[in-house]
Amino acid sequence: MALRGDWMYENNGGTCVAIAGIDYCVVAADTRLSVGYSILTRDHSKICSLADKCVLASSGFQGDIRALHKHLSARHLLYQHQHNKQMSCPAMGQLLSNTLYYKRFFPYYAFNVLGGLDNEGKGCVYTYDAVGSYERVGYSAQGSGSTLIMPVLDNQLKSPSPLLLPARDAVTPLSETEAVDLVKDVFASATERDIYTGDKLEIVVINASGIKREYLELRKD
Amino acid sequence: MGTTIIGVTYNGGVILGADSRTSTGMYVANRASDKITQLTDNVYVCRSGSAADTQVISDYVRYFLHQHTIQLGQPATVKVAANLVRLLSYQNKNMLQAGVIVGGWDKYEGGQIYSVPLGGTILRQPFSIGGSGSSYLYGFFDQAWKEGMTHEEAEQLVIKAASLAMARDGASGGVVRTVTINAEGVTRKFYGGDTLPLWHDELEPTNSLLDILSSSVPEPMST
Repeated sequence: MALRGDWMYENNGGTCVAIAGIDYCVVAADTRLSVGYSILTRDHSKICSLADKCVLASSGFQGDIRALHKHLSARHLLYQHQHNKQMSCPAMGQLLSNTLYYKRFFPYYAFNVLGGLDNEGKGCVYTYDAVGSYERVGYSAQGSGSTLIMPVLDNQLKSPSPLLLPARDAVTPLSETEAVDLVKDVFASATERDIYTGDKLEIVVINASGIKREYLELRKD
Repeated sequence: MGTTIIGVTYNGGVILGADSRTSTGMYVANRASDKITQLTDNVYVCRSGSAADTQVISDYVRYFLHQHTIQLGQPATVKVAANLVRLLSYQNKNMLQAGVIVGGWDKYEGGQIYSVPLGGTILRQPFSIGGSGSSYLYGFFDQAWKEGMTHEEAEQLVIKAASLAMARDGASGGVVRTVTINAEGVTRKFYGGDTLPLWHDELEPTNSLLDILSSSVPEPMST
């Protein structure tokens, strides 16, 4: 694919999803890394555990994503030294936004979804654009398959409309297993219709007992 | 952020209104955004343009206003809030994409609306419109605006205007959120679905002509 001589980005594709529950959070991403019509590897994780109760999934340009994850992990380590505790998910949420906006005029080509537990132990998901605008939501999808998955989540999670006033809690009343099953279903469907999504699905569940990882094979075509 | 944002003054204060659609290209990234953001107890801002830029500007101005309130010993005025927004917008005009409407109430000047569009101009107006959907509202406001409306009149005007713009502008949609600010305080409302007026009357359902076609005509695709 012919691109401008000064084009510094590349889209490695992939999709990330996160769903917040009453006392858990599910963060999932496929593991396919592509360039153009080629697959570079079927086994590349887009998920980074930043803290005990905070997990980041990013899709976009893996060069920038690696750098971003590394930067945030380093900042978390500093935080732990200075404050003698782990960063909460809302704190990391703000840090990610500030980090992204810092490069407002040469952005990280990264579409992020941050998931974890808030200070009260409830599931929380933050969704971002590439330059740091963010919002806490009950669920989100980012990446090449996001336009295929979001409408399905809107329909299935039947969360009280985020449009209501007074705002009602967006965390889904679904159980952990039901949420994980939903994630598997949406990825299976997205894999059918998005060429950049597939190979394997990595699912991370955060709850009071800690972080648990699970894998599911997806179509490899 | 394709948007419709509105701010009007009425005989007791101001009403800010906005749609709830955030689009990136043709995809609706957020169908339920809240584009009306708090700066202080008595000053709110409607945001349009880049979501990240306006969020950061709002965060900075909220921080400056907080300090200013502590140092001043009383609530900040709407004029100060609007000017802080204007300074950030003007001094970084080459790099930012932020068109905002600042509205609020203070004890010196009552309800005020300040428009701070793309280049960082600041203009106090009795009402202001902004965002991509505002193109469709200039003529409407020329005709429908009047000074010194009651709260009910002003609220209905804002809702009607926003829903008109949402009907015509693809980048605006969702629900209408309003924030009323007056001497008594702040009230948030939202109008969605059936509560919004329709502008393109639907036709009455009619029986399909296919029902009365004679069966001597062979159906297409039949063997």
